[in-house]
Amino acid sequence: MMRAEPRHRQGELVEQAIGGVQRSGCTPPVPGQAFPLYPFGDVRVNRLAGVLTLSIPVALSGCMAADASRTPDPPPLGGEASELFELSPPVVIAGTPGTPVFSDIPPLLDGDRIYVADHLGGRINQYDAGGSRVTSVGAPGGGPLQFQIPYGVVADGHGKLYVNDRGNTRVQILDRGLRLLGSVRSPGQNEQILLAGSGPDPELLVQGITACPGAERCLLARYSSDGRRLAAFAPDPMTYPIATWVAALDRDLDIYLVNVTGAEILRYSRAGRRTGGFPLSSPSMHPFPIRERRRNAADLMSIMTEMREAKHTRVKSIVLSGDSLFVQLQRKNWDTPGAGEFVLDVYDRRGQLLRAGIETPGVLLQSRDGLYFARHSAQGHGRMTIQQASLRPPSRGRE
Amino acid sequence: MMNRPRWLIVGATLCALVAAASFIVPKEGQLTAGSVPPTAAPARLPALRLPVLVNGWGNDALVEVPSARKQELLVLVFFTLHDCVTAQGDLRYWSALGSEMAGRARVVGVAVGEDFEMVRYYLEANRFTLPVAHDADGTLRAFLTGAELLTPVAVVATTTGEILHVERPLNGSPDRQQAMRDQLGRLTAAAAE
Repeated sequence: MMRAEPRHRQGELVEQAIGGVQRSGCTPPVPGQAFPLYPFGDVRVNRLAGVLTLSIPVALSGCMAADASRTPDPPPLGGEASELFELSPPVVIAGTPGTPVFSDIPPLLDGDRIYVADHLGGRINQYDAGGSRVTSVGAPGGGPLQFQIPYGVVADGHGKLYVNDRGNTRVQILDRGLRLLGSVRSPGQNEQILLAGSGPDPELLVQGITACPGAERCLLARYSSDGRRLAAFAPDPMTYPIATWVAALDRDLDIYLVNVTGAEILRYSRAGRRTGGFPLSSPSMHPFPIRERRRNAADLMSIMTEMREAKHTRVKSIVLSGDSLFVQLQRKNWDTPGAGEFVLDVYDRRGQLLRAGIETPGVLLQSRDGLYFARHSAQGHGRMTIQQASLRPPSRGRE
Repeated sequence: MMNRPRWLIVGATLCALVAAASFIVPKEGQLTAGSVPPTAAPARLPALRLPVLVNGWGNDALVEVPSARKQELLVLVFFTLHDCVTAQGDLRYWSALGSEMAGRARVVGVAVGEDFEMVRYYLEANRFTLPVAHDADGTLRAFLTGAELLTPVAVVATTTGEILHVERPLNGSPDRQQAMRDQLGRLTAAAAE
């Protein structure tokens, strides 16, 4: 492998051929991305004239020698969710003919209540902690307390619920008794809404490929609590086969974003500035391969046909808790004995893989009250099974 | 493993795919959501006999090709249960057009899905008047190919099954909806002559 001569002036960027790094056990590089590399801190991978090179912020003899003496231990593979989490007994919400649970849209666990969006029936159903239905609100339509494809509920911790009223391109704000408090226009058909801030009037972050109508590229938009759009931005390039993304906010309100068919975390500031990211390089990841750009519906259908049969993983959720980033994967067309539908990887915020391949009882979700798993089944009139999950102390995590 | 009907998953994903395509190549004019290049569709519907499971009574409880209803055109609207707003809007449009064209064209939805309880719940909750059949054994699904799988897609045919027109997703475009209304008006007028 070609190797560029380092420039030995302190503080200058040093470009180093990548081959030695790969042999030494560093994280496989991705052009254009920064990744942590001991002992240098963040280094950036570049593609120069077709050759991958590293930009290292100090003059050193290179990664290879330093790294060879410090090959990190491989992360533990496999295991059950109960090794990491204390799991509550499951709560089962069983659909009925009048109130089916046909949707796998993530439910919201908020205090002693569970909220399930019924995107087919235009309703929000409220259940108690035992899974019994308390009340419902809504009908298909565009009026107050009517919903078109309600696509999830989030809570602000101050008694307000925010319903992603996707088809009506708005967010309706309810109290915990499901009474209408107001609404905010959010002109896109949003996939996901998040709340930024812990006060009573948090900013709204909406995520979806149509989040900003008229904008050529926009995936995320921030709104004030009174509906003013504050910022809008998008990752670049957007070439994934499915244009569905999941997002999470960290404690600094940085935005973590991943395409459901991708294998790369993108990090943005609230203002929309790209602040980093890292590849999801876990043995659990089997993303559907990214192909050349698709230009028409027939091409898209060929992707769909292929995807229906192909063995791959999709990212179902990302959750930030403490210093950890949990990446929840769903296995598609998996036929490996003992491998369940859902598997979880754990990274630190710099992208170091800490645990991989943890079998989970559903999709890991997060509300103001903590973590929980939810699993949907289409049997009968549908069923949602929810288990609260408390992280075990680290010393007990490997027992 | 996932026990959700596969076609539901596909339906839920298509909207995002179309959006992705229009997003990726917005300036090249080759695709906007709903503008789909033509594919070679068969010229004739297969012989079929489908029970109408929702909104079908008496003589309207069956969709047949060939049919004895000589004066009517048949419009089969293939749909999946989308979480896509524009796809749901299309179904609402076809439902209204069916009422408008009563006696001239029979607009029938064909649910391309495996869980008809879900379809029934959706239709009833949204008060669709569209009669809907279920392609339970996949006869008609097999008839769809390529881009036509991108639902909702409508096939306008004579009572003998001759296909006169295929309409791809309208994606809520008022202009395209009106154009389709005009087109169907012309076709029904010609069929009545």
